[in-house]
Amino acid sequence: MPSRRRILIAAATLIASSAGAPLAWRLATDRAGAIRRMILAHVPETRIDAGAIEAFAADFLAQRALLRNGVAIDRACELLGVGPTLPACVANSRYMQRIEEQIVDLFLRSTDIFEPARDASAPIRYVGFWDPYSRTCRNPFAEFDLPPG
Amino acid sequence: MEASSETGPVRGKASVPGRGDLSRRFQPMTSAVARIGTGSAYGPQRSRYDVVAVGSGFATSFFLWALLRQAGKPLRVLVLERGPLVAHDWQVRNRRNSPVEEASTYHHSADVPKTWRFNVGFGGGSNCWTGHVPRMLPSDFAMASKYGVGRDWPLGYDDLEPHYEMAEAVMDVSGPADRHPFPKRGPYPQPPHRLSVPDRILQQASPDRVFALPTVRARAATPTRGQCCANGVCGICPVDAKFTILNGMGELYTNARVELSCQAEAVAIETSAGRASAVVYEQAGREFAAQADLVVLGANGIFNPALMLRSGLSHPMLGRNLHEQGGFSARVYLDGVDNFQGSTYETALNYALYDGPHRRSHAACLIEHKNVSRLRPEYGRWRQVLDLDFLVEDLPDPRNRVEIAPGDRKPHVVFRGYSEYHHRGVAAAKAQIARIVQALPVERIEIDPAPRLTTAHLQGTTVMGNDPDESVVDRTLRHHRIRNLFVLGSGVFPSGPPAHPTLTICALSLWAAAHA
Repeated sequence: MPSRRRILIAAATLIASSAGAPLAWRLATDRAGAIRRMILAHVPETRIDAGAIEAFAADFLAQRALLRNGVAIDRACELLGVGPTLPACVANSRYMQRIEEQIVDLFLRSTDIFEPARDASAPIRYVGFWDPYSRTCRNPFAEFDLPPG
Repeated sequence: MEASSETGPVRGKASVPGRGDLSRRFQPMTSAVARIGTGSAYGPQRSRYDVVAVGSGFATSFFLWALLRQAGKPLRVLVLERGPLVAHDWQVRNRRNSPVEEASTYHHSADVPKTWRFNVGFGGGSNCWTGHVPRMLPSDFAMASKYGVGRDWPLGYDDLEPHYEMAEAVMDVSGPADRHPFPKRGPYPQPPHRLSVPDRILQQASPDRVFALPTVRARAATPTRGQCCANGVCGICPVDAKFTILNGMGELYTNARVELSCQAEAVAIETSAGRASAVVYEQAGREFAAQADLVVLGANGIFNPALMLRSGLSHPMLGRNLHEQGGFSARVYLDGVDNFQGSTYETALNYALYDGPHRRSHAACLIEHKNVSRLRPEYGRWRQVLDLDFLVEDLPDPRNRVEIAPGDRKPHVVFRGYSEYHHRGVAAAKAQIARIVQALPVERIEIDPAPRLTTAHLQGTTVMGNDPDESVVDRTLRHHRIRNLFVLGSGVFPSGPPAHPTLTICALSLWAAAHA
């Protein structure tokens, strides 16, 4: 008798493939592959250094036990890995869209794309997992040296 | 906090210069503190103090700070904190404010999706807050007389104004230099944070509506706090830039007159001849009673009423009217204008929907401009987005309440829902977003359909008022019947305006101490 989890996986895969799901995720256990597809849905692959996404995905999945505040990493991993949350995932694509945006956001902040002196024509390089708790004061946009207001 | 071989409550003492750094003196606690002492066959072991305070958050800390400054004689003070003293580096390392999950400390039943956010540990909510400190508006104190809804406060803005000034000085608040949405006499201690480009555009279009956000996230580093560098994880600031009791009032708790006893849960207030005589508390499985001339409750809007109910201090309003603001978020997609150039997490407050005749029919709303939020997922347009958070007031409803059950230490929090007044305010706010941001080049606006589960502002359960039949405490936060009992915090709020409550909590504590 197939497990409930396997039945859910199969059902969701069927639904997603038949519905032509607009989101670039696959309901399978290939978490790194799902992360890759999410990122490439928003960042052209030709602009990304080889191996950058894979390196990010590996660090992302390794960090999930720590990143509890602010970003639904655990939920993202649950959804990527499939499980009891699947029915809600299928029903609530806006939630998955938010997860996807957060992953793309994390990826971009983990690269050199926003470094001021960067050569815009060069591929985007992975420089390390963006973690504001351990690598502090790395906000690339905030400005502090102009008069207040 | 180290176990002691002395009898009596476990004490935490240190003598450090300046503001005092508790985190260097006490080890973070994640296990029960050993209680030393034999107890007594005739009841809890007793000790004697001038003041016994329950809780160590903003309310208690600002009250004691003022009380000790003005006391004409040395006072012996005991502070009972239910949670552990958690060092800042432990919080950052573990990505949480406390080993105690607040949801484990109470029972909850709600008819709508709802959570209550607070922190169990030394410093209370000062650990987990974001650090926004706007004042209330004068109208907020007179909702009934001005708009015919809700209750009037038994004091006015002018009564609190000097205490607002003092609280802002203690916390080194950064705020606008010239214009304010409320009357303010003196300048803020620190200059305002840098606004983002969208902030400036909206401010230029509506200079009487958009203001730099008053905040305790340091614009400039202080002796005990780092400069805010817009990490955007303010609940646990990794550079300790926001004011907390831990980094900002260590001097109070290292004062030789103040004994801090952590992991000590107050279980009852003893009364005799119409006065509070002692606080009974449990620590490491043993029971103690701290006798006091003055008892101060600063344990938040859930545990203050629960403690009073367990102590037989019943009142029709006690535990009733639990409320906090509700709210929602919206994302404004911009055409050609980048965001995120501000110097802190949220940079501006927008008062476009706050005060006015509309409050006769629907709730006021305060809008926060976010400077650190997730990128727009569109190549090359990553920063062309403005996220807004909307805080919408609610009218207190007696059906929303805190109760206790015999034999159960945990209070029961019941929430039936937000008022129709609040829901009309939410609808009105959503309908006006486009008008509010029309000075910006807006492509589209997405409103998050999910309401906020909490704004982390517990209010209303020990309401203040002039009528002893309709309120628990008087205008000086003194219990109407038990005159040596002060009940502090936002539980005394008769109404819940959109303004963040912390600065008002602190100002009320200073006001109460001046009348103690």
